[in-house]
Amino acid sequence: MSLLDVRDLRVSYGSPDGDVHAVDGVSLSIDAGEFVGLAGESGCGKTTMAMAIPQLLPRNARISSGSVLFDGVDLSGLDEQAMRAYRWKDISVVFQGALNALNPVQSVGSQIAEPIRVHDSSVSSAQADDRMRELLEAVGIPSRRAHDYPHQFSGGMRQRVMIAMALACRPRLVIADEPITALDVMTQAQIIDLLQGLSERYNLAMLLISHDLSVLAQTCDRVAVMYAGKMAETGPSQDVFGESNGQAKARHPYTQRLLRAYPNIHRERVFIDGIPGSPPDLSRPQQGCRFEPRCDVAMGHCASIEPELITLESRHLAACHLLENDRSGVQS
Amino acid sequence: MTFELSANEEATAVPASGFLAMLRSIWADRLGRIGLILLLLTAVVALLGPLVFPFNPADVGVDSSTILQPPSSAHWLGTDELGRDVFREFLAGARISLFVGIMATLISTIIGAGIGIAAGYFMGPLDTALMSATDFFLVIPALPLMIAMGAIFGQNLLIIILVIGLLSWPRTARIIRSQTLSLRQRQYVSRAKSLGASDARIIRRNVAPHVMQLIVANTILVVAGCILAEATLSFIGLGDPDRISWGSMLHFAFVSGAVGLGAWWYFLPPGLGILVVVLGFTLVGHSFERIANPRLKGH
Amino acid sequence: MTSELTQPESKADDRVPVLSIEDLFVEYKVKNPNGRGKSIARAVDGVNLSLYPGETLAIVGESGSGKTSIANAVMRLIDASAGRIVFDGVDIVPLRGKDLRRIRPRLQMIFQDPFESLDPRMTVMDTVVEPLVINSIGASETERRELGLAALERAGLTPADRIARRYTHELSGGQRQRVAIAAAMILEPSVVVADEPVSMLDVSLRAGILRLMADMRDRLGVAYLFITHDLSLAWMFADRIAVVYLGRVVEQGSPVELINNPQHPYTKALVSVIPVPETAAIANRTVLTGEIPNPTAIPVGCRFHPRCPLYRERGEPDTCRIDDPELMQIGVESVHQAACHFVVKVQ
Repeated sequence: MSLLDVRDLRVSYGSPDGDVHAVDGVSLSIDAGEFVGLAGESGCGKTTMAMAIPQLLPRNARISSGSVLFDGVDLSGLDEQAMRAYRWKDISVVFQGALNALNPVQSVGSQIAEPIRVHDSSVSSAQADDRMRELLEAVGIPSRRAHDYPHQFSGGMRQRVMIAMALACRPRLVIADEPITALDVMTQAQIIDLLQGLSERYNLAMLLISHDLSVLAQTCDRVAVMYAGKMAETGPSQDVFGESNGQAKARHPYTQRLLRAYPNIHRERVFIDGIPGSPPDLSRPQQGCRFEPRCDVAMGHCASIEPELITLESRHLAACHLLENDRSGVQS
Repeated sequence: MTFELSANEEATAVPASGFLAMLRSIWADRLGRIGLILLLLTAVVALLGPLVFPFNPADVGVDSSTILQPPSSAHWLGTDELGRDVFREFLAGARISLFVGIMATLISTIIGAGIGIAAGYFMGPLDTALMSATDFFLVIPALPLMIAMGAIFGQNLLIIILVIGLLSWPRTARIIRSQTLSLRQRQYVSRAKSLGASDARIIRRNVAPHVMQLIVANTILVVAGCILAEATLSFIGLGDPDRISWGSMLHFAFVSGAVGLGAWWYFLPPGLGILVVVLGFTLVGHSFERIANPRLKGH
Repeated sequence: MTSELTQPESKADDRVPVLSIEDLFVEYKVKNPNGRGKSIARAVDGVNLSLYPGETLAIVGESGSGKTSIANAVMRLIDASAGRIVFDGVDIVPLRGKDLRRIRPRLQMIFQDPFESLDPRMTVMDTVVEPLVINSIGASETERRELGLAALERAGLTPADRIARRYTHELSGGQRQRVAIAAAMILEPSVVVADEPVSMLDVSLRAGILRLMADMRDRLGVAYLFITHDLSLAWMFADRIAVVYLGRVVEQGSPVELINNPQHPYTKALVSVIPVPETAAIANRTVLTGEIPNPTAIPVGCRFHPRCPLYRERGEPDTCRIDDPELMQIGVESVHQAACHFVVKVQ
């Protein structure tokens, strides 16, 4: 059984202009110890999807249907009290923008130790301290810096502190929301390596959200690409990225075009392609495939009938009418 | 390539079309609505009142039986210590209280905003000099100044307006300066500079419109403060002896012993009047702030 | 209209640069973290760069490299502490007031944040014609309006008259950036400094903006100073790349040369960590440890040596700790230079 099994989740936000259906029927599963990437551009719903799992959505958002099964328990049905038992102990979050998430007037050591003691009152402060130092070393920060304050650290170091905090109570799933976006390329590489290392060392399942497909390609076991609130394509990284026989392995037209928007130094030096137009307005009801207005290989019925996720190979699925004939007999 | 224009961004708040839209928003806000009603009431009282029920200070009572009389059909709010109709006095007092408050606010805002923008935009030595001046005025004690000015120039409305205005602009200046300092760091100001815009133009087109909201919000709240200041000064006897304001009514109520006699009809109306006006401006001011700066609304 | 990727000049140039940065230094005073006194941060520590007419020079670096300070110094948004910036034959560093404003029309900037660089209270039309108004160009408001509409159309914002009436805060990020570009180009500048023009946009929108910039380059002969942290983007878009580290140019050359044959250890590391949507590529990365030092404490000798893999490999040679390497020409192609004691120099 998967550690996390999100089934047909629908999340919408209330707004003065009408409900925005940010996530509209998305399923995703993560096994224990698996490193999964969730990709998409702004407005695709990936952050909403990720924040729905630990029930950390803003007040005007609600899960209208679907389930979030963690170890078989549907988290979406739990009240705040019950949810708190899961947060940080089973599922923790690394937020984007560490500077905003860290308390500027508290030392990093005490901020890391805090969740340890909050979630387990039997732990003594000495034990919490030891664990906190262990965590600092695990994320590459010398433990003598435990008494320093967030502003004394660089951006990359602060992100490491956030990661240490997220690991404080030995969670089984870590959700990292754009953890490297604001960092330098070299620091990004360091943090990504760190996350991978931690995932392996502690057998953590990780859900990494990023708009940067190329980073996900290098680090994740599996990747899921969202578009306009729906899942466009999902599968093992080696089946979604890269090329075989000169052809892109990605099957969904959106994924294919998105990959062409990244300059690839291992290929010919050509001008990148973009995707004309913009994503649809999710406060209005959608008909047919959401990518159709921008798709250059759309067929007649794409605008009126919504495509379902089709299983192409083992665990490789894409939602596109063009792939109907490629449906494999393999159960996903 | 045509673009579908997307729905409004969640960018900085910009009122769609100034004054009327803002009024409507304040009306929609519960507390703001109360404030607007109170101000409307005040406006009616102050503007129409004296026209319909003019007050003649010389219209004193004929004999001692007319002084400090409780409300009756002839005098709806009774009489004062000179036998005059308190109701009419109250209406006349409204005008003076509001007049002084608004005039002082004008002085305060013009000086305060001007200095605040200049200090915040140009920074450096000009900022230091202006802020020193601000600090100087900030620490001047109001009462001694009032007494001194009164002694030299005589006690009249102009002096009161001047004193209140001069003593309240520092607060405005600091607030506006703060906002200007952060605005000038915005990227669109750098961009305007890179286009070759002069400082005057940048202040006029890129800085001032954004401070305007803060200036308006601040001004509304300052009016409340100035009205209260006038009431205080008049109450302790530093007001214009020839003019009736709510503060001076309270003053005379006190010195004539009306309070001791329980002549509530004399001191309650001006007291409540001040309360209503100050409350009105404060509620509207805070409502405006909340609407103009949605981040203050909270979730 | 597709634009061809330009090929760089491979010979030493007899061309005259339209912008020449000579021995540029930019220093800031910063408060010490321990609260006692101030230190001097050398954001730009001796940079020499030439930009030729119609060419695109990318300045690539991480935060703290000084690339943004170079851009701001060129645009005279900050003052250079020393050095010359020669634009169209005139050193613009000492210019002030009216003299400075006179050169502005020919030297424009595109900013990184499309949500911050446009005044949200101005309409699109006001934003686009603002440069004309400020510089008193255009005989009448009608004429300026016409120029504005034309600029919007060239920037792909159609229907121009409908979009012109909108407030900038009503547009999306990509649209705003197009407005910014239209406004920058309306004066037909000779040099445009583009500071991370697409890094805050969705990936699918970047090509559109870059194509627009390339079109402007072809149409107006604009030279770009393209500031970016994304080496692969610079590789794709620029004619030449200069890699900066802690205030100095450590390597410069043509995109192909730099990516295929990087000489400076820093460049090598940067190239190796470029993420590509290719799952196999992760094996050969050189992930440097630590972070860029604070510009208040630039290492003595070669500023990169504390993090340099080559320095460690070669047993920590003294020369790296003592001598500050100069940019030296590598190979036959004169545009390729690197500042490292161990590059193979051309005789």
